[in-house]
Amino acid sequence: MKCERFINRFLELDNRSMMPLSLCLHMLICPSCRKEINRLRDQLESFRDLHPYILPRDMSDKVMIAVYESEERHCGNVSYFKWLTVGFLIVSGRVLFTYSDSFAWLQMKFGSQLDLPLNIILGLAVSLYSIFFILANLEDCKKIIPYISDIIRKFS
Amino acid sequence: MKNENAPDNYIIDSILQGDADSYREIVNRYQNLVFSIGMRFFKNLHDAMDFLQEVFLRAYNSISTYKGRAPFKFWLVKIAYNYGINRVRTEKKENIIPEQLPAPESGPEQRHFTGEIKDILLGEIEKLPENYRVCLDLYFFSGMTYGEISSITGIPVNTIKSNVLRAKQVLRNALKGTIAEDYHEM
Repeated sequence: MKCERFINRFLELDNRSMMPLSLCLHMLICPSCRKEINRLRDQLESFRDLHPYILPRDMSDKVMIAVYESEERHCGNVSYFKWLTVGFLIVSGRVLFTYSDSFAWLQMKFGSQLDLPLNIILGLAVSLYSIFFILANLEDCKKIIPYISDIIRKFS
Repeated sequence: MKNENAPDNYIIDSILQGDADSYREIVNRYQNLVFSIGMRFFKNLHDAMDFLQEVFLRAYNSISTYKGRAPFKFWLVKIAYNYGINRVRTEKKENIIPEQLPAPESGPEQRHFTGEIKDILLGEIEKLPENYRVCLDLYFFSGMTYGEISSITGIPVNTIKSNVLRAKQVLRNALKGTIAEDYHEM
């Protein structure tokens, strides 16, 4: 009866769980339980990584054809957070440049008319960056176009 | 072949970087697992193969949503289970005659009794409804814990536990007086 209780305790154990100390101690003093538990444990372990059914033929080619035909393409998507951070750095770089020694040196060299070419360069950089952003996220941009046109219509 | 020994997460990273070919290694690793789930749901070779293809395609299409918090295998099994249970519900394919397929073999000294005992276990699993069958497969053949199976299937831990316990008791009785017993006495 006592042995039965210990065997049941073993049967109730979860995968990857430790055997309770009381069960280990009982196994030390009870050879029949030790034998039965070891036999059960070996049997359960022999099932591991087997499969109840085996695929009669390799399906990887068929799956890969379906994958290539699918519209989904994973092409190293950059998160919006990264896009926004880099955009912010471009604009803040331009603002902070005004306070740098290099800007002071450039002003000495070219006079006070430096703002216009610098802003043209910034405008070009922001435009190029926006083009890359739109091309990289074309599908998402298409989705928000109706919302943007709604907003424009409201204000015009 | 290039990713043969690479961990799943490494392969997934390369897929997300645009290397779709790496997905073949994922398919090779888990096709028997997904096929077994399909056979549990549909009991039919043709449907199980369609199921396998659809599950791998769905997994590929939504691979960017895999955050790596749990092993990839669990994530894939969850997709397979949800798709299987929904398809069974819609198609009502309960009365399809099961097909007999060759079972996997282990080492030569184990083959004799493992095959015999495995058939007994499979027979016991076969008596359950299909969603419980998948649970027992995941427990006995994939080595998942009650908690992991419950989080994949949504079935309460205690229900899984009682089905597993019943199957283990059947196994225990089956092992008595078999070659397995003699093997351990040697």
